[in-house]
Formats: sequence, C-alpha cells, structure tokens
Amino acid sequence: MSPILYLSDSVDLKKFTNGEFIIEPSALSRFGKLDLKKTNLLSKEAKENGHKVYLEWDILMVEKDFIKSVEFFKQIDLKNIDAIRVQDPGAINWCLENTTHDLHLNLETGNHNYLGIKSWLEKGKSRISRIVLSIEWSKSQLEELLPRLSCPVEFLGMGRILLFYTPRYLLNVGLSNRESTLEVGDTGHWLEAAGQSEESPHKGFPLLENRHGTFMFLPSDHCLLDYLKDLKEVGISYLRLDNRFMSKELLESVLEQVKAPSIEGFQRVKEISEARLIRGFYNTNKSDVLFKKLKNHRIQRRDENYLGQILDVNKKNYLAIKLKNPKKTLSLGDNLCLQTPDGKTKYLTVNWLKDCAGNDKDQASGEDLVFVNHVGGVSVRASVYFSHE
Amino acid sequence: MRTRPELLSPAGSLDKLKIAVLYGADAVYCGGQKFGLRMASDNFTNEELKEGVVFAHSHGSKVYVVLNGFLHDEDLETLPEFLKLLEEIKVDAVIVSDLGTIETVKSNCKVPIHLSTQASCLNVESAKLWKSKGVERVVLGREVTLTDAKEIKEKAEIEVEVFIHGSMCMAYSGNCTISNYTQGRDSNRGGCAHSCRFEYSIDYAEGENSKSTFMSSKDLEGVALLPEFVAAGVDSIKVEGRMKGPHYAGTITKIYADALRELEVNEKLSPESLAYYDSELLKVTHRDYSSGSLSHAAGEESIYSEREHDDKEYEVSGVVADVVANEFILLEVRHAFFVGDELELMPFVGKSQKFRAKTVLNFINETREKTKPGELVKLPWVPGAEKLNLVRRRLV
Repeated sequence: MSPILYLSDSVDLKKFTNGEFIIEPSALSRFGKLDLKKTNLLSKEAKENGHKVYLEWDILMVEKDFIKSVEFFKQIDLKNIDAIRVQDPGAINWCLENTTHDLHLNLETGNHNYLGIKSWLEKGKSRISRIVLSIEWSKSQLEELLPRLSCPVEFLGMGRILLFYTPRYLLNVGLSNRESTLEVGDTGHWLEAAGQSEESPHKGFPLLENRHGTFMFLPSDHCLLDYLKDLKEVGISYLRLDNRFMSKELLESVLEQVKAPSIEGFQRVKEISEARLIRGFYNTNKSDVLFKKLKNHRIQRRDENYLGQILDVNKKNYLAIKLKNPKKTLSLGDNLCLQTPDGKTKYLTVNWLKDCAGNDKDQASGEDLVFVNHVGGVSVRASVYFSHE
Repeated sequence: MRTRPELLSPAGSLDKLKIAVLYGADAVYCGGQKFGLRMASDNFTNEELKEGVVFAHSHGSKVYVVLNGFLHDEDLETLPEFLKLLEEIKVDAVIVSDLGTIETVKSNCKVPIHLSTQASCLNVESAKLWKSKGVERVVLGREVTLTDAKEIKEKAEIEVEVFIHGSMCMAYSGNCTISNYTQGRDSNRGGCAHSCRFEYSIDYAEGENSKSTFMSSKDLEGVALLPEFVAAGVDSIKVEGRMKGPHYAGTITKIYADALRELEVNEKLSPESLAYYDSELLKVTHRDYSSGSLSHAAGEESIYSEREHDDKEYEVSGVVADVVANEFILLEVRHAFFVGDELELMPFVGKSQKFRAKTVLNFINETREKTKPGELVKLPWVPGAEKLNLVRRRLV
C-alpha cells in the first residue's frame, strides 16, 4: 500500500522517494491554504523530486462558484499534476470533458454500494485511475466489494473524521470582535474553535471556518495503523495519511509505523496523538440497527385481515372504528381482534353497529366511520383486525 | 403566467397524503417502510401506498416515492421487489440519491427518476451528469439561488425542483454524519438525530467563547418569491415536512396553492394577499422564517438562535371525520379545547370560517366541557364543511 500525504511547506520532500502528494489550492479544496503561485511552485518542486502530485478539487459548488473554480483551475500549471481528485459531480463531468488527466474519484459521500461505484467507473471509463471510498465501509463490506472493482481503491489510514460541511459562515458570527481586516469568504479567512453540547456525550468537536464555509469534525481521529496487514489483504491499494492536522512529531511516528508496522510503533502513535484514536465503522457498521426502535410498529398496518383503526373509546359505551381497508366489509356479528399501541390484544364481537348519525347498520365498508359496542382495555390508535379465533 | 410550477407537498402518512391532496397539492411525496430518510415517520405500508396512489390520481395529483437513503448493497437486494410494486401501482416517479439506486431502478422498472436533494446537485455540469445517467428531474440543493436554478434548467435541459418551504439542513444535504458517529444512527439512511439543533459552547482558538445554536438553520419560507420561481421556469416547488402533522400539511399546501392560483390569474401577488399568506404561514409551528439561499447565498441572518420553536399562535383542534349536513360535524380531536371556544374551519379552497363551539357532544350526546386528544366530538354544523377539513384554534 502506498501512503499519500498532503503537500505543504512543512513537508520535507527530499525525505521521500517516489512519494505521492495531494496539493490543495485554497480556491479548489476544502482545507487548502495555497494560492496559485504557491500551488504551481510546490507541485513543480515535488515533481522535480520525483514525486507524484495530485490536485485536490473537492469543494462543492453552486454555479457561481463553479465558474470561478474553473477560471482558477485553468491557470494551474497542469504539467506538474499527475491526477485530479474530484468530488462534486459537476467537477467530475467538467474534468471528463475538458481535461485529459487521470481522475481520482472521491466517493466518500453517498456511495455505499457496488452498482453505484460501477456506474461511476463506466462514466469515467479509462480516465478514472483511483477511487476514494468512505470510511463508513466496514471490513466485511470491503471484502465483498473490492474484488469486484476494476479500479484501485484509496482509504483513509489516519486522520480527522469530517462530520459536517456547510457553505454558511457559522463561527465568525459568534465573535465579539469580528474580523476587520479580512472579509468572511476571503482567501485568507481561517477560524478555528472547539464545540461541545450538553446534549451530546462527545466533547471538543474541532470546528473550522474558511472561505468555503464551516466544517465540524469528530473529536476522535480515525486510525487503522494497527490494521495495515488487514487492509492490504482486503485489497486497499492506497492509504491516505491526513497530515494536515498532525504535529511533525506525530507524522514522523505515523510514517515510521506505516514503513515498519509494530505494536510498539502503534502505541507510540497513540501516545503522541492529541485526539483519541478510533477505528470508526471499520470492524462493523450497524448504524441502521436502531431504526426499528424509532417508531411503534404495533400500530403499523399489517394487511392480512386489517380492517382499520380505533379513533375513540368511551368506557362501557362505544368504540369508534375508522375503516381503512377498502377490500373488507364489517358486519354485525363479526369477531374482531384489537391490538393496542402498548402491545395488548383484545377481542370483540360486534353486537351493534351504528353510523355517525346514530343510525343502526348491518354492514359498513370503504372508509366509513362506525361505532360499535365497547370492550375494556382498548385505547385510541389500536389496530383492528378480523379475528379467526 | 409562464407554465405553472407543480406544488409538491409532503405526505408522512396516508391521512396526510389525503389532506395535502385535498388542500391543493399537485403532487405528494411519501416513503415506504424502507429505503427513505425518515425512519421515524409512519411511512406507508404497501397497501397504503396503493390506496394513496389511487386517491391522489383520482384527484388529479401525482405521487412520488422516496428511495433517497444512501443505500447499501444489502438494501439494494430487496429494492427490485419494491420497484415492481411501485410500477404496478403506477407511482409517478421515484426520488433517489445515488447511482446504485438509479441503476437498480433502470434495470427493474420504467418509473421516472428524480434526483434527491441529498445528492447536492448544485450546478449545470452536475445536472448534465445526472441527466446522462437517466435522471429526468433534479431536486436542487438548498444552496442554489433561483437565478442558478433557471440556468441549470436551461443549460442542462432538465426539469428542476426547488424547495420553497420548510426546515432546512444547515449542511449540504448528504454531507452530515454527526448522527452516525455520535448516536450510532446513519443520518443518511433515516436516522438523523438533529444534533445540528443542539446548543453548543464554542471555544475559539483566539480565546473567546460563546454559546449558541450556531448550526441550526431558520426555516425556509418563499411565498413572496413565488413569481420569481415562475419566472425562473422552476418545474416543481417543494414543501419539506413528512414528519410534521396534518395541520402543517394542510395549511402550507393551501397557502401555496392559493398563491399559485392567484398568480395564474393576476401574474403577481397583491400586497394584501401576500400579507394574508404571510399571516397564515405564521399560524403553523415553525422556527423563524428566512428565504434561505433563494435570492442570494444564506448569510448569518439564516441562523436560528433558539433551541426550541417559538410559542404557537394556532394549533389544530382536530380533523373533520364526518359531516351530517345541517346537524353537526364530527371532529377527531387532536388538541384539547373547551365548549364555547372560537374555532376556525379551514375549507379546502377559500378563507377560513370562524365558528363557536357552542355545543360539544360525544357520540351519545353527552356534553363535553373540555375535549381531549383522541376523541370524537360533535360540533355545530358549519356550511361547506367537508371530511378531512382542518379545524384550528387561536392560542394567543
């Protein structure tokens, strides 16, 4: 697995042999700080040192910003760029039609199935030389996916977990002394903070506001540096090490661990890291198992024998039933089964049946609202079924 | 007036679907038990979907079914069966978020595909790409202005749907995973815990600190901009809110339907009617309103500074369950009220009618001094009252 780092002044290019670096111009990338001149200079320097350079264009863009981004893009010296990393489908489409470079497709958002990824690869044909997958993919899912893909895959080995991305400026507004020399949205605009809420068990969410909007990260960082062999076996080809928020000391330990993995090396990384390190969803992703608890399934309509719902209960006097199954007819003498929202089951034989005006009826159907004799223990919203007992 | 845009309303349940259709929705969107983004909503069983489509079509309205979760491989395994049902019952479109779902839809049925706002389609090139993949309509990201929407429609030659009303994600839709990592619930498969609405303490690197609901967005409200929606050629105006109640579904639909009717006749909204629409929109529970990014990029004025909603001006007293002409209306009570209270009946078309609950009786004609939610009561008959009309009461 080849490690990939982000390029900045603080990276000593001479320390690496055949390295792979992502270059982030401020105008095109979410956390980029480089202007055009610096982008061209650093990419040239990296190329001269024998490294590969990938241009990050990962912002999402409304039309006005898209046009500005394209104008900026056209000024970049692309001869020093080996591939373009794109995320906004608009940028993907534009690059396919207006450049000849290899593309690294960032599929970290909204791409969690094989068919979708296959469709992206078909769209890009031979131009897509790498895909970047979301860290929400678990190991078992990756094991199924990767053998089916025709394109190498990049995965985050270590770095911050982005939780939230908005184009709105949310931090500056809370400062009493607002930025006076820089306007919000200017190229140099950069505000950092930490947030916490009494309603969340997590403390110290890193927050960042720059020209592209506001970002929130998880307080813990993603780290799979104790699973390197595993990742290789699964079929991950490229490992991204997000050094943008790492100290120099931590980065050195991380690189050492990737070069020569060991339990001690991993321990050192853990000790140096300011953030707690987690494996996220790598071992398992069960983020849908709580869904069944979000609503009361007892009041959901099950259609075999379903008749309707209790709308009113008047103790010892009547029940009101809203018929909701056009295929069924309720008749005097029918046996009904009533399932209450709190899980009780009650039975009733229809001894009398009346319409809203109080007229006696023999039958009711369609969407009629009818009143029948009362049975104890039934509450409003109970589901009504025909009973065969 | 240029082509009238479709009014698309939320239908969190079969009852809400009927209410939205009767109050003037040209189309409704709803979800089945799986594949959507509102797992806590009642949603529709297959039988309810069938009934909902029949009901909507019989009133000239369309039904779109959401499949807009970011679906995983295991979700796609069971999707084809559901798609066959949707085609069989003649739903008018499905709303999807990712390419895998699009491919699955294309392979299994011929139901038209609309791209969900979850996919954050924000620019012309993006719309072109989705169109090349078989999408007939894009629900644009809420960050897109009406000027941009017009450009996207014209240059990408694709139908565009734009949100006009309701709650808004602060993040680019689909780009928030707070619930995934803090609550273990996938926000993009229906488990959003609304952590963006929490109050946060913020410690700035510069040493300052503050406390605010800085990630909470005001609600979108765009009735005054309706002529601009029409001028931009927007194909569908969308109201958010499948989780909200019948009062919301009915009232919001009615106001936008009334406003669209007025535009068809007069090509502009008069100041008097605009004031009326605004006042009606205030009667529904809401956060402070903002026009979001419809005119220009949403700024700091779009941040909602409260944890809870404002006090309600009105609440729904109930839904008309039946009418016996010249005698009484039978109301399914949703919020308690007293005998003697002044209530308002909201007809499907036209202005509300005030009436007093001079008598409140239960089915066996016992007087109810105070009603309680979940009971049926007889109220004095109001001319023009129809089943599923809403009855509301002013609180302040």
